[in-house]
Amino acid sequence: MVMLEASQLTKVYGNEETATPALNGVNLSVEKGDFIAIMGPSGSGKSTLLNILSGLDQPTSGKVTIAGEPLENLKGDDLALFRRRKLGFVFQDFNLLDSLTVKENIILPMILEKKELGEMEEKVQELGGLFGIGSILNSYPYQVSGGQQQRTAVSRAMVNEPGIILADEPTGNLDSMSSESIMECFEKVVREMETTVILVTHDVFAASYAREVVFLKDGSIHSTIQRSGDRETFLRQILDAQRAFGGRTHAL
Amino acid sequence: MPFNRIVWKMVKADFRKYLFYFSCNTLAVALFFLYASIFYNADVDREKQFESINYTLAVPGIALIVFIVFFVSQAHQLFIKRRKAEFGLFRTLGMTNRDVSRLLVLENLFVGILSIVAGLLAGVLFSRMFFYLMSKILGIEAVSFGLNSQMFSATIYAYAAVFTVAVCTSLYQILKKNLVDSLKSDRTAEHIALQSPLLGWIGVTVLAGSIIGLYVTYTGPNGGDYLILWTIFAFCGLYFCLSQFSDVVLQAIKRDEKLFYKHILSVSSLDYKFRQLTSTLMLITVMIMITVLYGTMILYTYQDAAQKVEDDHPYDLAFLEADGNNPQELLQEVLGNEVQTHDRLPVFTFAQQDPIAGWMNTYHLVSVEEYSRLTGDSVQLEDDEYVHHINQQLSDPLENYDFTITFPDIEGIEPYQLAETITEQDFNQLGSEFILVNQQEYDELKGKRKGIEGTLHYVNLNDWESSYDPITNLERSFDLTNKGNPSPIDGVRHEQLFHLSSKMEASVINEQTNGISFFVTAFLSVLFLIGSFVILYLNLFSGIEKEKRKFEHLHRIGLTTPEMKKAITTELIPIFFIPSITGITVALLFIIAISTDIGGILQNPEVITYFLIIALLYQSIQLVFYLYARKRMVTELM
Ligand SMILES: Nc1ncnc2c1ncn2[C@@H]1O[C@H](COP(=O)(O)OP(=O)(O)OP(=O)(O)O)[C@@H](O)[C@H]1O
Ligand SMILES: [Mg+2]
Repeated sequence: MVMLEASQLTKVYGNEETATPALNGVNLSVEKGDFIAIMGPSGSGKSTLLNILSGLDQPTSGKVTIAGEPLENLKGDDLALFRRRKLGFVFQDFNLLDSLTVKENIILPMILEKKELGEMEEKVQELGGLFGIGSILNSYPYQVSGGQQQRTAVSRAMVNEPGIILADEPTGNLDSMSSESIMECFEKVVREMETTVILVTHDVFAASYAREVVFLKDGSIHSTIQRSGDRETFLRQILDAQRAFGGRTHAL
Repeated sequence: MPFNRIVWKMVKADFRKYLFYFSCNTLAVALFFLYASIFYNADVDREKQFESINYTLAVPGIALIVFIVFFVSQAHQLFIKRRKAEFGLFRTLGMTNRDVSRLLVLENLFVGILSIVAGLLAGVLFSRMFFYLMSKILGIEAVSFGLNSQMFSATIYAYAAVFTVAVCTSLYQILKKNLVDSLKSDRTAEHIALQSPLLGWIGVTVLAGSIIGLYVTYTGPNGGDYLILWTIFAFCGLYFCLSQFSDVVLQAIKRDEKLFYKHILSVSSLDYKFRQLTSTLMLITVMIMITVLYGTMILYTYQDAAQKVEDDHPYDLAFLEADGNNPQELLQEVLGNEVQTHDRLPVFTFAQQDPIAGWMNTYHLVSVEEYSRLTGDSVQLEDDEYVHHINQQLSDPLENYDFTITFPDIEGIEPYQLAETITEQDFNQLGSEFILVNQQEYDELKGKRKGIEGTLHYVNLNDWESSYDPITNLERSFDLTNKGNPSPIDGVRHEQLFHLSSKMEASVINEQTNGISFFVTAFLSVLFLIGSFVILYLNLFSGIEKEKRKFEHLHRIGLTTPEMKKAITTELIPIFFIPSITGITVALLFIIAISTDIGGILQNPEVITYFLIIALLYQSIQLVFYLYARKRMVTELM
């Protein structure tokens, strides 16, 4: 089943004089339960692509369909509701609300959906157990580590059981240990809940958790590699591919 | 020094933060100067020997001190909160505690001095404008604008003291706090140090106690001094109430999960900004209280004084005409076309010693027929009977006075029978007592005793208020005629008998004597009205950037516009309406307590009416402001 379909996406920033092309005809088809990493040099249009896929930004031309729903049909608040119900987001700088506890941050999307108290409690316990943050549910974001904050953010993204999670450099602010635990979280999300994950990353190690890596260069897809064997092999494949197309490499 | 250059660069990059801090301080200085410019104003100063003005100034004075203490320290804390993380960074980069404190002191000194200069300048400008507007809009010219050194020095001293304390406190906090905490400081929530509902109840008790205390002591000796004391207590009590109860309410809401989740964004945000919230609530409450209290007082004084002039002057002009002076001609000459009605009452005016006080009282002997023609009362009198008309509205029942006279006080004539005593102010005051007898008695009696035969003239004009110049001219002529003339009646001065009683003059005198306190009160209430709005505004829009980021982010994860509007609304409502309701209530209690001075609130129901008018007016302005602020906030945050 196709979860997300993007066809002929282009994006040009600015007006006629200052036009900066960011995407030139990107086509992407993502199946349910896929785990895709988007890589590419800085400025290649990764964040732009992700923002368009999630409806935060409109493409200059082209079309995005998520779970059979063309995003262009949705406007304003409907789009917001769609994001809240069908999509999950994880950001580089966590973006938790400082005034809410970890638990409250996690269930915020459920609260907005006016779910039952019992259901919320159940969900938060489940996710807390799954991602190893059960013991800090009542702490405030500034009282817990960056890795824990990001796991909170992943839990929040998962709380309304979305079909797709979109993450822009979720490990960008984390050390390798925490990165590993976040990527394991995404792995669980894909494996146990059959949720689709699309993440943008610079980090080869993080990308090696995915099933497929899409390389973006100058706003178009340069190449794609599939994972066939174990993670170590895939990691080496990604490194090779990256060298081949001349992007910068990330030390592990 | 490269490090200093880095610091300077950061200052420049973060200019807005300094600008905001500087603006708050400037505002505090300017507002304080505005107060000082009225407190030390030469015209007001002269009036200070008559105590009442001192007390008019005292309550807002205390409120203003409360204001600058809270406002300056709040602005300072906000500034430091943002700076602390940077200081932490500097320290990780190798700056010593000494360097950090030096930096903190230097930049605060810089901002402080600049604020004083700018604040004084703004204060002078505002003050000038204020005085101008007062005389233009309200037409009060009793107080004229002026500057003196006291205004400046008092402002500087008061501000410098508060500012220094604030800086020292945060200096201490920064040096004491460890590095990690200070790096995070921008993100931690604020909570009050002392959390206990008991303290809140003590606050309520102190507040209630001070108002009862004021009620009991205000009319006694030194009542005004007590007013100052009770006001201080009341404000302290109010602060404890507000801080503890907002906390109790917020925590209670948070405990009730269902309720809390329903308003999660607004409640958590209010809770998060708690300290800032309480001081804001406190400040606005006090400002609203002063505005409403003073607004009511102005209305009362104004209406009361104007009413008194009306009551005392049933006719626009009145004078006594007798042999030797002919004011009628003067009147024709000066006001010929303006006269609407002109009544004449022939009288025989004589003096008689007051049996109790011993001085000479003047009485107008009038024939009852003439009298009835004027007043419309129909009184029939036998021979040997008289009516005593005391031309006054008495505040107590007649039995409490002694108006006994012997009439007629003529040797060989038996005293007449007193048929009735009338107490009513039907005429302007030109000697306050009338003796009414029938026409026959009148003709007989006037030949038998010493006095003057004349005519009382009662004149109404088409529009006395626009006849200022002619009336003044007429009055001057009266004065000239009176000057140096011997009095026709022993023991009564000539001008006492033959002066012009005019509504115009009375209202001018009234405006002059009440003008200063009217001006001061109006000045202060407008000052506080503006003050409260400025605080609200600063409070709402100072942290707007952070809020904007928050809502942007929430929008990304799916917060819709109506949900956002709701969150903003629920956050704004308590900030706008708790202070106005509390402030108006406290103002009402103060009004009730202070009204003991004019015989209690029950005797003066109009005070309540005035209070309601002002409170309603304020609440409406507040509502408009709220709607405006909400609209702006929504547009800013989307
Ligand atoms: N709001 C914007 N206005 C104008 N140009 C933009 C805007 N956002 C991005 N760009 C430009 O579009 C191009 C792609 O940017 P994008 O942020 O998608 O890159 P990226 O691959 O995410 O880079 P990085 O790895 O550094 O995050 C860049 O040239 C960037 O300068
Ligand atoms: Mg990016």
